[in-house]
Amino acid sequence: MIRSHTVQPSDDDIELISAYIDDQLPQAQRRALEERLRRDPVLQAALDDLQATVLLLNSVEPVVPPRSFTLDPSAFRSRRATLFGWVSGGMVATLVILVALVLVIRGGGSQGAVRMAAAPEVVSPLAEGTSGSAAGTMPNAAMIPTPMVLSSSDSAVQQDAGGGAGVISQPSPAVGATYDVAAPPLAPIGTAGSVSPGTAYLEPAVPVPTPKTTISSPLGLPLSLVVGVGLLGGALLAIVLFVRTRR
Amino acid sequence: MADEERRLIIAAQRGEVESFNALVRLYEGRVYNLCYRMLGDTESAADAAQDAFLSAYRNIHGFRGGSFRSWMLRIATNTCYDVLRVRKRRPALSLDVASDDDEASPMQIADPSESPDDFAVRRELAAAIQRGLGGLPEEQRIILILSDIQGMAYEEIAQITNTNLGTVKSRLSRGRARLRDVLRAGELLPMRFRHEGDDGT
Repeated sequence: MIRSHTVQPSDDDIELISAYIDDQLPQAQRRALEERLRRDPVLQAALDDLQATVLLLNSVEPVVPPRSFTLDPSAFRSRRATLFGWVSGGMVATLVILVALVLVIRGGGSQGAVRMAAAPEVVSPLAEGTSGSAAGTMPNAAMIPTPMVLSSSDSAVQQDAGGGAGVISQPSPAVGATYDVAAPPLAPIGTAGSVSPGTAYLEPAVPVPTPKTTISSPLGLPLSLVVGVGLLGGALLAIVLFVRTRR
Repeated sequence: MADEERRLIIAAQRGEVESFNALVRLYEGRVYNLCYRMLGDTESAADAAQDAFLSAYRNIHGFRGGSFRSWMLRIATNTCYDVLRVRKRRPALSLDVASDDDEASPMQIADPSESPDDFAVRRELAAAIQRGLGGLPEEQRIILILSDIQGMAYEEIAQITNTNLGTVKSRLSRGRARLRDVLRAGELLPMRFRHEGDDGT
């Protein structure tokens, strides 16, 4: 039974009493409080009230749940199956797209190589006229007025007896071969005598085609393979998990 | 029992819903009672308990041992706080209204040896205590429920409420004192539980 009192103990005393009810006070503190309780009726009354409140709460009976809160296994299974279905389907689709992309890119690269192999031979009209080397067609897009520096050991140099300028008949590059083309400053016409031996500076009377080069990364194929195998493995794993959850 | 519970937890962490349901059956009464005492009406309490178990299942991978009961009750406590927060934003349903509604009253088991009068008094007392609890601040209410209704130790209460022992002690004493005052001042208690001088005479 709870009584009303006009005089109330302090909050600290209430906390002490509350802990005393729960037997949470250390031995010394407990003895000291019991001594005070014997001498102080207000404190004793507060203890009685608080104890009555606690007893009331202890007497509260548990209520019965209106329903069971168990989860529906089929709902969770179907959700997981749907999830894995989406995951595996998405990974397979990604894999197919990736493989298609790799095939398209690699197919395009091969075509470029073929185009380069079929690049026309570069032949100076003068050289054509004098040396009678093999003639070739010259694409307009590749006509670049750039002087060439060629090693005399690699090229056939034919110098005109009357003029200072030389004419080079450039050898046809081997099929699929690449070669460097440098572009130093133009040497003045008629000063071929100052050119160091082994090097001929020419004023290009005829534009020289620059061969097209294809850039192919050495990492392309291995990277594609790694990504492809990874995705394939992921798709297989998703399918295995999907099958397991359906069982 | 502890080994069985551990086995069920491990199986539930593997995704076995039936094993988790066995854990639900172990703790649903306690979780529902906590929610009912915190929220004050059966419908909200049932929804909160269901949400708490659903949340526990989804997060059971995060359970790293210790007391599953504490972990579960902590989730239930947080779920109740969420519901109360929503109620504060949209105060359409108060605890008092819910408690006064007969349909919202919890199911109580009638003792066959109990007279109808005694049953009525017992029911009245339970409703009065519930109203008194509803008048307490949430942080005091939860500690009073866990300590004096569910009978838990301070350490476990501190774990569930994510506080320390000192906070538990002070909130518990203040909650008890406040409930005492609420029950006394509002004449919430049935007559036989009131002191003669409490009716203002």
